[in-house]
Amino acid sequence: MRMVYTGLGPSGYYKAWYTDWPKSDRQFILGVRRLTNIRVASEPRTIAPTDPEMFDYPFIYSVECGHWNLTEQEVTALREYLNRGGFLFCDDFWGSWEWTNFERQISRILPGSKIVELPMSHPIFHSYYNINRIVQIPNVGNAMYSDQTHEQDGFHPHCRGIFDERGRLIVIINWNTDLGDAWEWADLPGFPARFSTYAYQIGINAIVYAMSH
Amino acid sequence: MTAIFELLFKYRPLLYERGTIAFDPYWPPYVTWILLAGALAGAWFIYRASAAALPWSWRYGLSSLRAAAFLVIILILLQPVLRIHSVLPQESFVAVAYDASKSMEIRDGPEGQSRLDVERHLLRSADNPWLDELGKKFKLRFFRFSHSAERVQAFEDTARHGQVTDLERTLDQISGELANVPAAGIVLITDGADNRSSDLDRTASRLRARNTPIYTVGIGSTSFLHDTEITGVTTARKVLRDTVMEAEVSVRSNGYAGRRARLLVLDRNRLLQNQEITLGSDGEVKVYRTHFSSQTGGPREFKFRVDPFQDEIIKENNDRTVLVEVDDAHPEILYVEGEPRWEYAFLRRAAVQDRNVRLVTLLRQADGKFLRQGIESPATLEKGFPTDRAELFKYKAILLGSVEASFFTFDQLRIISDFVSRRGGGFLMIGGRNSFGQGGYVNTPIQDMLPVNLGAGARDTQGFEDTEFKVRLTDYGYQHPITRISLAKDQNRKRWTDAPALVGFNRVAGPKPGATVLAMADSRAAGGADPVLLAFQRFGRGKSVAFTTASSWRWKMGNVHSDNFQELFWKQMLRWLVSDVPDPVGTGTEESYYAPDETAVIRAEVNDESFLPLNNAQVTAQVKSPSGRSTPLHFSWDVEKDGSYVAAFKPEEEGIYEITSEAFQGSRSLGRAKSNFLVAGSTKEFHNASMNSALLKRLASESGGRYYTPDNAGTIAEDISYIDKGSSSHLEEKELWDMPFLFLLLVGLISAEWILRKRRGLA
Repeated sequence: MRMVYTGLGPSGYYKAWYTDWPKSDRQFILGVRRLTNIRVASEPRTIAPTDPEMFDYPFIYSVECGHWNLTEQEVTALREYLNRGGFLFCDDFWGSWEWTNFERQISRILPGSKIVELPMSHPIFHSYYNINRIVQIPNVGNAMYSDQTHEQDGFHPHCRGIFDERGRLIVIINWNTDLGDAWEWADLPGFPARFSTYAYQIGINAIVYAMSH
Repeated sequence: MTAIFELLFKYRPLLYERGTIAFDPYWPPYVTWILLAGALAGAWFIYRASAAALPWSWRYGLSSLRAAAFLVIILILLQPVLRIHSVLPQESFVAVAYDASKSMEIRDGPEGQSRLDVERHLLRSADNPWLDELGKKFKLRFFRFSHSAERVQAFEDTARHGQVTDLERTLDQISGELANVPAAGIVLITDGADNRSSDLDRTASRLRARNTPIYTVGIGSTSFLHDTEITGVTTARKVLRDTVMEAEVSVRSNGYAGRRARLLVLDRNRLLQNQEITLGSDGEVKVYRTHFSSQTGGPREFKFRVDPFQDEIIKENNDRTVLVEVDDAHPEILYVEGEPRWEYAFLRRAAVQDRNVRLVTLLRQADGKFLRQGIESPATLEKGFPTDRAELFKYKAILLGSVEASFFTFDQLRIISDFVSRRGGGFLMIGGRNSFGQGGYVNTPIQDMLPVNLGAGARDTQGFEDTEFKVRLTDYGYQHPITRISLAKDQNRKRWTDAPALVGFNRVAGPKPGATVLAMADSRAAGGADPVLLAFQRFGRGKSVAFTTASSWRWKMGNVHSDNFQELFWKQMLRWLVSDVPDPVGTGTEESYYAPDETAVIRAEVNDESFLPLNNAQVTAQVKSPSGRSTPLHFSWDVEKDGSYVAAFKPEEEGIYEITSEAFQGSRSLGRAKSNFLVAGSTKEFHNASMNSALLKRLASESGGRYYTPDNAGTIAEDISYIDKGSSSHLEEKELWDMPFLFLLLVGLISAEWILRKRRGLA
């Protein structure tokens, strides 16, 4: 389920909740169905945090999180969602400016929480596939036509997280990498397989982790 | 009745029972026959002369009356006597045993006298001469008894009264004391409130065979006008810390039908539960369920009390104490899940919060790919689901998620069935697209185990319904520990009513006959008859549960985050599944508490790794007293039950004792077990404390004696004197010719003839 949120830009702005929608979600679902025995709907859906139905889906995906500009209702709903046992997967935001905005927003949702770097020994990197390093996945343009993998000043990829008071990971933050593009363009012959492979691995690991912890 | 009999027949019925009637005429027998013939002929000829004036029926009737009168006269002339053996004075012994147990303190006698007061009055010869008369005829031996008999010189007042009454042991001991002397009988003065004997009838029969009848004197009331009593409490003797415990409390009341009372549960002085109950009709025993939990570990004394009314005679029987071991163990549960799903995640999260239960999981993520969690070592479940009993039987419960039957070999399915039936483990099947009938469990050993019917056919006979529904508990469901989210009844009901709706369940073909249904899916949402949602049944030594949905996670996501409904449900479920699941070696006492005078009987049950009972083990124990002193014990095999061993222990202090038993086969230890029992001044004597006249009458009749009350106990001396026959007896002849009955009979016959003659106009 992809999260619909209030963003910083105007309607139609290229960095918003609908970035890569719907193809990246559809492609990702295909991968999950083929590679695991998780029962997942064949078509992707979107949902707003203020929609009570969001609580029927304990795993939610959000893209371009550096452009969150959440309303109070969205903040309250997301806080309750995570406290009840939901899991948030954040993806595709770059550089220090976007990080600062994201950090400000997440601290409204989970005041007092700490964002930590996830060690490679953490179970999320081994819940289905064994992942031994974080890969920086560039946007499709850079991936196919350039050697550059970063955007803005996001030179190094990070996989960070927020834990609840019982030590369960409830938010995974993929910063300085673009998993959505890797799912979306995995079917392109020219799109490097190593990027798609990592993207599917980390995505599936996150779902399996959320469904087993 | 006895008085009327004695008035008519001159002697009491007992003498006729014990004696024989004979005749002692002054002439030889042929004269008797001549007299009889003469009487009959005479009666006939008297009315032959009136033959013409009388119809034949009148003639026969009047002749008969005259003949009967002649016969009565002849009977009197024949000198009838009652021959009866009576003991030679001072040649035989009589034991006089009086009850000195706590129940004799009950004040249900006239003018508020205690039973002991009545007993004292009975045994003081100044007040009652019967004891003196008895003493003239017999040599007396006095005994005071409660849990056993003690020889005394006479009735002795004592402040220390016995905690229990054991009539069987008392009579055996007295019988032993009289074994080498000619005994005429035992006088047993008691209220009959026996709380220890197991086979009194056998004791009575033995005494009858030895010609030693028991003469019982019942002291006290046979029922109390105003009394409430806790007759029993049933609860688990071992639970995990912080588990909701269920107890069934049986209460009998007299004089308070329909009135409300309070049932309290206390842990020492801490109130755990306070619930209102409505008492039953007089004499009726009603069972009430109550729930409570203890967060303190170790052996706990839980006291159950019905608040006494002001006018109750006995308040001591309003309490019952039960010793429960609140364990800090960590039983392991094996959960096999066929696919990653939210039910798995949320169930694990709830289980992880329980510091006692350890959930070991095997999750199939894809074909041939598994995730093991909660394991202690890398080798655990390395080869998948266990294939031998020893490995599987280490767990206390098994959960199966959405995993089809073909995932297992048939042997594994058989082992799962043995896990429940033989090992005594708990089993739960959770709903899903590969569970129940849809999972192909028809015609498998699992089908036999489940508390629900799967229908006919090999696969998917009932289907999975993907509809939203609310949960509706049955009446018993509101009381069961699994579904007891709140201890307060009304609050528990409200929480279930307010619980979020669920989605999706396996439709099954109804509960099995022996199953108990705790919850249904609301039929208005699900359509058709109410589908079973949660049910359980006993299977062999264990229990099996069916939970036909996999959406209980919605109780968490659909409730505010501070609501712990879902966590509590799974906590209770998992704890209930492992409750009462035995270990290979178990130990415990037959009762959870003993009075200071009693001997504790300790049992050990020994099984091998496959939970087959072992009869050739060596079992020892250390019993630690409250003061810390340890006593070693050796068990002997109980031939009547496989794998069972028994030992006896006589406690010397009051308090909680700890037993640590260990079983060996050669030098190999088979396992250890711990248990506790309590030794305390008990209130047993005040339970079932009404005078048990039925028992005392039976005891007397089985042994050839008689039953008396204090009012007619005065005839004991004479009654004992007359016996069937014995070496210390002589034959007495008692004249019967002057029985008032014979005189009245004669007068009656003559009068009747005279009246009838007058009516016919005869002279």
